[in-house]
Amino acid sequence: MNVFLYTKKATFLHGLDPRTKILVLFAFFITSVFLQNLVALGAVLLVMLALFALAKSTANILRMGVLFCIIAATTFLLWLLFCKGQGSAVMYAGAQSLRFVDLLLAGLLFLSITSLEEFYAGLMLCGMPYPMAFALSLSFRLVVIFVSTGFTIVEAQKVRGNDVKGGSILKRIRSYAPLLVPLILSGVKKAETLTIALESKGFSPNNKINIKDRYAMKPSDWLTVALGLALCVAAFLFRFPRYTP
Amino acid sequence: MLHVKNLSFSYKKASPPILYDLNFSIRPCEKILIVGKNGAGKTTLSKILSRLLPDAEHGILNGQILLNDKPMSGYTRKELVRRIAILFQDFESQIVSSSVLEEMLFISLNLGISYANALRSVQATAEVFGITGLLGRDIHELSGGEKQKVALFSLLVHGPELLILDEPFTDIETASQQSILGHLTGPNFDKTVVVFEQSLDYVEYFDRTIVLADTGMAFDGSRDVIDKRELLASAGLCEPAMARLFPVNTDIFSMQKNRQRVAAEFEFDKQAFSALIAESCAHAAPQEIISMRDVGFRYKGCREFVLDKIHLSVAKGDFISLLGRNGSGKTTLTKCMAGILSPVKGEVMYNGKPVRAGDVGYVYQNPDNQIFAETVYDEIAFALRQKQVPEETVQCSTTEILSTMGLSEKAKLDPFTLAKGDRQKIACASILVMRPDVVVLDEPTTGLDLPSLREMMKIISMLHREGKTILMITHSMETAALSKTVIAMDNGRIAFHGPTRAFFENDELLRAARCRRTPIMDLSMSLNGKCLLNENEFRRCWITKNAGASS
Repeated sequence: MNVFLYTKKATFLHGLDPRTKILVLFAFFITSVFLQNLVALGAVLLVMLALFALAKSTANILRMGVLFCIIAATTFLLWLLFCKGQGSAVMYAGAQSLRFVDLLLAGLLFLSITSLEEFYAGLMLCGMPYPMAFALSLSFRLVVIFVSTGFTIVEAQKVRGNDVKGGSILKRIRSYAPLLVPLILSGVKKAETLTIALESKGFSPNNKINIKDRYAMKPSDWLTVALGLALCVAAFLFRFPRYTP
Repeated sequence: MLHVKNLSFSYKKASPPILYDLNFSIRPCEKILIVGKNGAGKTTLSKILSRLLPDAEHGILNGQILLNDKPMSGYTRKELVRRIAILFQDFESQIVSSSVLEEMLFISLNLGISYANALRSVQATAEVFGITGLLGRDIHELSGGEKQKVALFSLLVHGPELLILDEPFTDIETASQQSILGHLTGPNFDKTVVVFEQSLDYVEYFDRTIVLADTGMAFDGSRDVIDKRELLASAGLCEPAMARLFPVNTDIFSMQKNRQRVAAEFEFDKQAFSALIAESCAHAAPQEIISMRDVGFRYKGCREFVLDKIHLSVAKGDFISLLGRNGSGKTTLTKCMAGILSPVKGEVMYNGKPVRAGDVGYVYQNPDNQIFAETVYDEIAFALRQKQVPEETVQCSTTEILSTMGLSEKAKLDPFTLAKGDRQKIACASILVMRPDVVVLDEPTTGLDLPSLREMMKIISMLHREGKTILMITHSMETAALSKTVIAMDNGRIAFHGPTRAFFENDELLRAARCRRTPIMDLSMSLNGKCLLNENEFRRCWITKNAGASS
């Protein structure tokens, strides 16, 4: 069972340095925030879709598609109903909704091409202290453990006739009790053992981890960073044309 | 290297000591087996030897432990980790990374070793133990046995002097257990190895054996411990089956000597063997209870099929052991069979109809994944109450099953306060109370000490005699030898489905499923090519020459 969105592929985007991936993610965030024009935001969306195709991760768009559509529709309706935009209200609401989708897609692309280890290595290489980066990585690992334990518990109770999916709301709430007790107990046990496990493996917040020789910025990384920066500058100038040289 | 002087330990001031007045020394490169039943203090001692107790957990420690003539308390954690590595019994909770490579690198990087050097050591370790293929995988993609291997091998990367392993083979397939043990206890591995176990099955690999009993250390000596039957019995242990066959002092670990002895003192009773074969073949025309036709299964988001082209027919009343290497698809197969997982292709039929969750009783490996009620009684009665069975029937059925499982006296106790063996029985009882015709047991004997294991096997045999169809996933060849049929899995496909004896006679199948014959099977095969599955069969077919003459 894969609870994360990372796709194990050998593509150009997957091979980028984690720092590059983080910087490009921010570049897309900044671009999407600067742009207000529906057409420009649509162009960013197309670029993003092309990048998904390049990363062979379009399956993730389908996986999250319904959620994204709901968010986009809700955003569109809320802007349309409660806010007065500049120019056509429909166009403005459409742009706001598209911006949300661009932001979400940027995040999704990042998660599709960055493994958990690369993510935390990238944060460390960008200057985040080791304990903080490791805690972040560990929390993701714990999510996987809790989700898989949760699934096992649901299965174990299902074969005893306790199906959380059927019946009235009250019945469903009641049927969650047999799931929560083992889950909480396993969580408490896990938390207790984790400290000892980390100690047994020599982890200490004061440790200095040397991973600099593990990652190196290649020419393709610098080129990608340059493109990301260019995208930000273009978006800035598009939004504030008075600064155009 | 390590000196333990007058060591006593208790978790609380008021509670009696778990360990009392232990005195022993460990020499460099020594290979030591420490055995004891559940509650003998094995896990506690393993943590004390690595100084996790009392550094990371509370407890009252008296006595002294010297590491290289210096009190252990004088070492920093980093210095200790550099020298001592410990594998927990609960190995899954010790894994802190998301991918195999990161886990293997973790200790080295935290000890300040450069990435390049750490990676070289990881690759060398992976190559030695044949897990290079796992390096590119994520932890959540691994089977239980593969996780245990990763947890174990990740401790070897930085080359600690002392390796402490608390029940390191619970989830690993037999063939790998033996090759790992062979390596760790072999002359080329110049490290000290201390293995904590519940049985003496692997005593032949070790230079020295220590027996822990309730009263403290009951034995410290060589492998001759297997001759001390009374001492072992008082410690809740028993000698290996071969030692029971040849009770008078002899080198039971030498196959050649065993063969010579049997040839000199015993003779093969062909009639008894024929009767044995006739008994194992004698059953009425099998009635199919579960059928799987062209079943394929893959997990969501994964492209690879975990099960592929499975065609299987399970006969009513059969007792099947499901064997196979780690990650071969055993658990997935049984979950599909039980209707817990829905196959991506093909169909699973139960009594001629598509299987539904609940048709087949499924006992999970970890009983703690299902226990939630405040009393043993309520836990067992839960399934019937879910079905809204009248309370009188609930009471009647629950009381009956409590009695069958030997849990009547514990009916009002909190299940969480009971030992693992009892919790396993509760998990089993809470399924059996629904009276399923088919019961699947996932590793029912893992982590159980000898008394609990015997009880569990007694219950399983009783269910089989009652006509239930039993499917049991196991890594224990001794346990598998008790079944009538074996299903062997290899890489998501069924490699064998047939009589247990035929499976253990076939070297090629054994290799594919990473299984090994037990010493008794090996001995009988080497004597005359006839495979005898256990001690009882051996005694029946190989009779002492005098006894044969008198009869």
